[in-house]
Amino acid sequence: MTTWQVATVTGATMETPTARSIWLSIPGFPGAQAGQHIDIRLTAPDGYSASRSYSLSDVREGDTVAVSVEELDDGEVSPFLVRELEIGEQVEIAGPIGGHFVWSPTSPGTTRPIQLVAGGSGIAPLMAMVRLRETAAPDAAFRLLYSARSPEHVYYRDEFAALAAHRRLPVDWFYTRSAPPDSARPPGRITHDEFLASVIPVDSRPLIYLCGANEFVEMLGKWLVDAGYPTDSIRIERYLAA
Amino acid sequence: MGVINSRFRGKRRDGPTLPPGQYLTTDFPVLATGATPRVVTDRWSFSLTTPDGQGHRWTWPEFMALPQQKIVVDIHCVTRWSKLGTAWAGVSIDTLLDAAGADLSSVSHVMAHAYGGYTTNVPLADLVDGKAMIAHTFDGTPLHPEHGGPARLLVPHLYFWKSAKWVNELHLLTQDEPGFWEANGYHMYGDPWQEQRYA
Repeated sequence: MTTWQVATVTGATMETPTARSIWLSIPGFPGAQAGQHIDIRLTAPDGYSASRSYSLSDVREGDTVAVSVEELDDGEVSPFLVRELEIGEQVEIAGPIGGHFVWSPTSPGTTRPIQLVAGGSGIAPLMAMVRLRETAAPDAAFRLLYSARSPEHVYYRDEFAALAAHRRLPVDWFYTRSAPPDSARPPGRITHDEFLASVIPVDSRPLIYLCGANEFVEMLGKWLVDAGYPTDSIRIERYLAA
Repeated sequence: MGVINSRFRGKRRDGPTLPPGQYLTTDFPVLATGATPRVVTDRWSFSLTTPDGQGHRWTWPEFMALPQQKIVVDIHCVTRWSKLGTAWAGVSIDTLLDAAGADLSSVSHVMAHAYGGYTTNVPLADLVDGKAMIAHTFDGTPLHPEHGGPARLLVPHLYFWKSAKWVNELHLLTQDEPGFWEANGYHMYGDPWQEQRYA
């Protein structure tokens, strides 16, 4: 049986027209590692319940965490979380879950440079890593590649602007459907050559975290392996769409 | 009990009884810890090894020459999707144990090993008597690498992380040991009907 804990919504903000970050206060929550996720369960008045998994996008405060939820067209839980859930409302959560797709500032191998690769909503668990680095390991070498449909689909825009202003994080941006007016690159899916030119070179022995839709991470994972990156240096979190 | 989300409706599909916490999908989601291993059948082999390291190995032609089976089963992923009526073809674990002539008197559990390093543990009792197979064909076509091809373990009555993709060895054990996910927060046994997801 899953142990469900009660979480109270203490804040929420729309990241994009279809995505919302939600802060949850969970008394007794043991804290989570960056990269882990929680299950969120909703229960209707007649007792019908449904739950889905959401990556934590902020783990810095032990018993208050954030998730960033993309509303799926045919979703069961995400439309409610993005459109209906109110500040002060409660949901049940289980977790934290996951021991593989994590970055810890103190684990062995922390001197290896970290390459984060996000496709769309896959930025969520990677942002937990970026945020944790700011407070716990500011000298850790991080690089981010973020592929999004358009600038309006980018999450955490203000935060990325602040990180850029303080030169805290090199980011390679790729827009697939529409690009900013001053962009040198026309919109389109990232190509093999663009990808390999943007990621930390294999000789630097990076640890790579890939997160996004299955087709995206499958393609990029294959490119990395074919380019000689050791398979055990690549961690993948594949997003489901239901 | 207690938390009610008063405006939540959900999608309310009427339909078959699923294990607790599961939802029905007609899709076939892909989950894996890393990149998809690329394994060619020319170089594929499958081994059954005893606790003391003896064993039997089959090449792809030898494996395909064994008695084959077709089954239709429901599968349940710990990430909450369930897929009903999935059709598989492969070689039952009973056939492999028989062909290897293994002495099972001291064997209680089995560790499945896969190309790429994945492991998962299953009690021997959950692999015999028709409960499991090494599957090479899904829905009438050769199993795609993304879904574990050329061959995967198939143990449909347990959560699908136990059905190790890209399987290349079943190592017989005299006691239980945690495989990859079991050592990373997931349940040692994984019965979907008792919702044994996490440790």
